[in-house]
Amino acid sequence: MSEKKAAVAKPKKKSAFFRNGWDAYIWMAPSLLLILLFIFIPVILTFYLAFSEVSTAGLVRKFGTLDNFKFIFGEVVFKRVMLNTLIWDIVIVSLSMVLSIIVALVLNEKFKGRKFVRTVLLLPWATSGLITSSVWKYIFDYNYGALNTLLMKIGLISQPINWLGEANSAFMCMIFVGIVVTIPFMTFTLLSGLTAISPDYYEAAQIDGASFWDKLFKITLPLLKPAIDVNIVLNVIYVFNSFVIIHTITGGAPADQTATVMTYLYKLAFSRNKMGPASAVSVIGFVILLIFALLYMRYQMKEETE
Amino acid sequence: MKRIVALVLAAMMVLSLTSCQSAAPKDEKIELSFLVAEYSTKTGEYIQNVINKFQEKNPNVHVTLEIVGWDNLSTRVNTLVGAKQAPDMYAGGTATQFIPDNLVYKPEEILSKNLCDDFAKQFWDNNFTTEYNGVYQIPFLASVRALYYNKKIFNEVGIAEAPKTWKEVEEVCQKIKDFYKGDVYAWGVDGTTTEGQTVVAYYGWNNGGGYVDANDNYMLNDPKNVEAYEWVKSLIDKGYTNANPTIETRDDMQKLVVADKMAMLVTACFFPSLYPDADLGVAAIPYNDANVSASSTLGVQDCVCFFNGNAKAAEDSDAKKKAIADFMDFFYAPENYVGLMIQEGMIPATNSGVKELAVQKPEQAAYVDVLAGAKFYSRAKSNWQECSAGCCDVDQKVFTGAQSAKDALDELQALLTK
Repeated sequence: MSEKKAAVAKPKKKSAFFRNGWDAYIWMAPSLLLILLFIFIPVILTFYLAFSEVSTAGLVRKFGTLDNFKFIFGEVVFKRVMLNTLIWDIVIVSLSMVLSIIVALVLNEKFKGRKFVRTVLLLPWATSGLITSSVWKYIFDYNYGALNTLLMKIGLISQPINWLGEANSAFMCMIFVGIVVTIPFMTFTLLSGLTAISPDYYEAAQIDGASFWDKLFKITLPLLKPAIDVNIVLNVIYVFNSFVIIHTITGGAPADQTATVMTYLYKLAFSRNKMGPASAVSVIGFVILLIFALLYMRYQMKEETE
Repeated sequence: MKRIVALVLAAMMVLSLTSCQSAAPKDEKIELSFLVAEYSTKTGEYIQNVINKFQEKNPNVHVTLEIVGWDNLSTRVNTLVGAKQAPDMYAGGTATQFIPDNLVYKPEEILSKNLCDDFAKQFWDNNFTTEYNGVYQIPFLASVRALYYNKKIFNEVGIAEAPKTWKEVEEVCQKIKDFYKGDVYAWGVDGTTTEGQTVVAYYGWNNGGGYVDANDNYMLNDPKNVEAYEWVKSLIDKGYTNANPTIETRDDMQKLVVADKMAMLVTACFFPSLYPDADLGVAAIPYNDANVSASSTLGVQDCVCFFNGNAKAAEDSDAKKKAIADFMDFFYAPENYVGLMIQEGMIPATNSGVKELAVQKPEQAAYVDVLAGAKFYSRAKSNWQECSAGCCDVDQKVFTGAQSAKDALDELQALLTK
């Protein structure tokens, strides 16, 4: 009888808590707590400061004012800063993407010393941004710079070039550094995408007589698209927020002509002691990135539906 | 019965708490915090030794020292103030930004009269703010600026003495340019965010201009300042100066002078102490004899301020205020203070310190006389930081030719006075 009872006993029901999937939140709690502490609260505080009158000591005097935004939009240099940020982001991300695809394709091939090259490629990414930027500052230096010395030794120039002496050339030099620093991360994420593509596609294409370009544009790039998309989103945000290269090499000089949103808000906050307007710039940057992320998500959802 | 027991227990508790309170001042360990800017890698070690000596004599006081690099100094202090954890004593920066929120003591409220009276009058007066009608900080140390020149370069070119006037500067620069065919910079200009604000002091003052007028109102767009900027720009255009005045800092140029790549540079009096082997000459900053009759130099004082209870978790007890006063008396005592000045190549801000420096290091004390005639930044103005950053922007706009001196200075004047 007892055996019979045991045989017909129903399996033990999960508690309502676990049935509703709430246990997932317990597992996520540590991460959520960290995000709350180090991202969510600072973002809320930044918004709070952006809409407040903040004293020179950084204390809030009055909440509920648009004066900080009025101040920022009244700054002559703000347009230039926004334009610089746009150029900085688009040029670095797009050029880095093209170059990273090429490098990833090369590194995906089998050749002697591949591991060594892959390791070397990681170095600029693994090295501290401050060190990388300082080294590049000295490379471009007019008086002692390695670049001028090299170019003069091989006879390409007779006089040193003042790479950092003028706003446009200095900005181009920093974009170059930005690309050098961005390529390693992009390359490695693309490489992982490339290794996930089955060799069967290429073998089938080979049999059908496809050229290198056919394989690249009809197999590799379409199948690499998810990796490219992720890279674009991550790097647009990362490059937009990058600070150390410009801060170290020109500090935004001359007169903010090479500044981006990040270096400009740093100067506002810590050189000009204007914490409120600096927070307003931060909010503007946040909104721009948010719009970009929303547009991207919409595009992704549309793609998935199609 | 229960009521009686409860009453007795309550009475005992009150008594025990009262007895604790009355014993507190005698046995209380007083904690002080001292935040100091890093002048050199040895700053922290020196001040910690002074603290150790003070603590030996005052075992009930513990002073925690925090040394912060210049790049992070203002961020660190603002963060501490925002968190109501401001240090009791803050040396290196300025109190100006904290005055409007009533976060700092007036020195007379907390320091001994003897110490307040010992500070050189010119420093004390420079800290007087007309906006808030009082002095809110004491001088920590001072430096003075002068023209330094590379003696080897002068000898090779055949220049007997340093130029005194702007006209002489141009003549000497041309000689150096001709001799070295442009391989040696004749004159150094710093228009970076490190020292860009000095352009008004070095050239504006020496042309009759300046930051503020006699009534302490900004006068950045004064024609004398415009003329001074145009003169510096002319030096750049003629190829007399360093290649990148907007990104080459004072430190970069000091290295160029020492490396025989630059002939003349206006910089701080601690320059020779950084390069003791360099063969440097020193002279007054040149002036425009068409507008002024003598040279003006820039004296720079860094200050100490004392945060009050508004910037901390609680009001300071009388015992703590006394401990701060005692510590400051001890710190500024010549036997403790002057060693730091010698180590950092600075000038003492106290009369007793100056006397001691004259005994210990007469060559450094010579700068005290130069300092006597020096002018100072208008750091007591609450928007001085905006002015300072704005001057750097003007330098960069004018020196790169992006804007005329008049337009750039008009814009800055409008920004500061709106």
